[in-house]
Amino acid sequence: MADITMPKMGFDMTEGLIVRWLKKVGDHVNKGEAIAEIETDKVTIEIETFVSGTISEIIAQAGTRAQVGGVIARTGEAGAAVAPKAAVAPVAALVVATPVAAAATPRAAVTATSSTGVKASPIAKKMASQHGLNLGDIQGTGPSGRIVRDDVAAVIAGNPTPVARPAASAPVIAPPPAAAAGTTVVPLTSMRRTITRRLTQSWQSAPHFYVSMDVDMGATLELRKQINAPLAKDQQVSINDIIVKACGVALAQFPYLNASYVEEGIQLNPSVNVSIAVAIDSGLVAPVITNTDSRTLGGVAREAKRLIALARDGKLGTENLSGGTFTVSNLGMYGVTTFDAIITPPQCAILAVGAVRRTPVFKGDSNDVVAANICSITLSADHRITDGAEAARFVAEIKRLVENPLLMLV
Amino acid sequence: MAILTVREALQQALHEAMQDERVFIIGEDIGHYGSTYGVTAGFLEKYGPERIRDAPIAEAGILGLATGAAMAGMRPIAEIMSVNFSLLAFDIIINHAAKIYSMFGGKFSVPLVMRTTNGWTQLSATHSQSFDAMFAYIPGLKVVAPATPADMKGMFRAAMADPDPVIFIEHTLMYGIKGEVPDGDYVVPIGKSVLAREGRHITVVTYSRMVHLSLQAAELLAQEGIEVEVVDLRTLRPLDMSIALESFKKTNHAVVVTEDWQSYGTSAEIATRLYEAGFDYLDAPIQRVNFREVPMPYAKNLEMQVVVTTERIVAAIKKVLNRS
Repeated sequence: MADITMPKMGFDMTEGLIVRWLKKVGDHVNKGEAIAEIETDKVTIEIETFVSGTISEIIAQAGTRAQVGGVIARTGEAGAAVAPKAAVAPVAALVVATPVAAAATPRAAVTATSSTGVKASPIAKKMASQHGLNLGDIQGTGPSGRIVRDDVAAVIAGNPTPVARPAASAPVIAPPPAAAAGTTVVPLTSMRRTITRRLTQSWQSAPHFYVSMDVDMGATLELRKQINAPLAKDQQVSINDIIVKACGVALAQFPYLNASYVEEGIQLNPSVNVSIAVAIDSGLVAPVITNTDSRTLGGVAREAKRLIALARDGKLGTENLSGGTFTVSNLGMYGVTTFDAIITPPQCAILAVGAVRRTPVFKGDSNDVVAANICSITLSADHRITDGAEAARFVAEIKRLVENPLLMLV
Repeated sequence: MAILTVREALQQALHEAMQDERVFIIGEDIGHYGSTYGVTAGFLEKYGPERIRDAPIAEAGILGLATGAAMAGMRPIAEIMSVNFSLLAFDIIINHAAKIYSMFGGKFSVPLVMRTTNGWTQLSATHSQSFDAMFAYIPGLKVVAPATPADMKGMFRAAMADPDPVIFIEHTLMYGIKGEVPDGDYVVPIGKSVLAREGRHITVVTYSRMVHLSLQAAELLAQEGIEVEVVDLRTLRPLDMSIALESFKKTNHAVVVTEDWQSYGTSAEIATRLYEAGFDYLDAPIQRVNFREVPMPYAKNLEMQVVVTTERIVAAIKKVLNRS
């Protein structure tokens, strides 16, 4: 008999919602076979069993949440009566249909356990310690999400990029005020809950400051026109792709903007992975364009298109959502001229990009007024990691690259 | 370098031992019958009944006589046909042979070698056991369980030269196994393990017949790209873990394969030593592959469910490595 537990599908996953079971009691499952569909904070995904056997008991029913590592089912002899184990991690009995009660208590239970004990093998712990790595930043691929030697070795080798764990002191959510008659309370989706948790954490723990600049988009628009003229629509490069690429190149020069604040200090992330904020019907996701600095502009554009398509179809996997070291958020298409974004933890900064607008400007040092295409960009940065002058130099470098986009092609 | 079976290697070692006038062999059916597994065939004719002593079915007597003879300066070889019968001689082995040297302040030593066999094959519950752990538990004994013809011969030489009682454990299913045996009077020392196969992904720690099954498992897994390192302990007391630990520090993964019951068996000690000295190198819980814990059934299909098979070793290795 073996336990099937809720896997840890992401660095900061603490619990998962069983959307539906793909197997029932009495079904035989093989190791690696999909057994259930679960919804995490980031994604809906099929989970695979780490053990083979016949399902003897389903403990976490569809519609309920289970903590990472909590037993959701057991395998054993078909139909064998299995006595419940007292020591099994409790399954948060949160039924989606009763959202008001659900919103308050179970979260507290989850946050109370989320900071205790990252599961890691002794050799993994030793290697992490030798390399100054935080185990909470490393995704475990062993049984029950245990961090094993190869997981740490992969991080040491620079792949994947470590992502900081959720802060130990996640906010405690107070019970909502008593609802007046006729009030509708919309239950939080997993995604909403994640946005709530992560951005509240960011806002409360990272002292934000902002640096804005206007960028003349003339050269970039011209370059884009030239690139796109012979290309089919699905191959074309967007303004945002050029800005994302510029951020990647600039980040490679400014390691502190590509860093994470961790307990032990400032963690300089070994690769540059720019997340792009993508609005979808159910909220917001930020898939990651890995190694943004070393991809070609076309490579960035193609990867962005692919990730956006996956996002719109709800098919992003945790591998697409983990490891970002910086975010670009663009609201230009909505006519927004400037805005301030909240940093996505554990990143150091986020760039808010406004609309490209035709604006009269003085030409050079003359008094002649000409039309220009101006875009305002605003960097939100974490003052624990960087300061105004460095942030200004970083934004100026983005501006220089976008105004001279051929620099990114050579 | 000659290719010999385990039986032939042992026969050579025994003939060689008989060159020493102080040596005699005593056991059940070793003379006229040539021994159950044929190892002493022809010895009676060659060395005569004074030195090749057919004993009655009296294991305590065989060991008692051998112990006394050893104390008096002889070099007895006591053969216990099956280790299952040694239970009748446990008082002599444990409370006498193993204790005399220390209890008499070093005035006497007991240089006897007890040859015996583990094994099974439809021999049922009372004749298919292994008491490796019970012997290896006793300070004052030396316990060896070689796997190859070369080690059989080389370790038998070491056993004959040793001043303490040596339990020399053979296996009924190994007598036909062939291997290269070096020429000359080489000695394989007691208390030195050896690397049986190199690999970098996982360490299998084992001894005796399980070395051969582990090597087969390693061969199968090599086809899947899993490189298994196999360590042959060769001696159970004193237990040399140096090579196993060195290997474990490299692979971070281990499976212990022993042909006895798991609980309180030799694998418990071996795995504990790995945990104690190798904790910082551990990447996954160590798995053990052993007899399933029931009295051995007679029925062949049931017996095969109990004993260690290559498939079970492969499965354990994959489990430790988290491979499907």
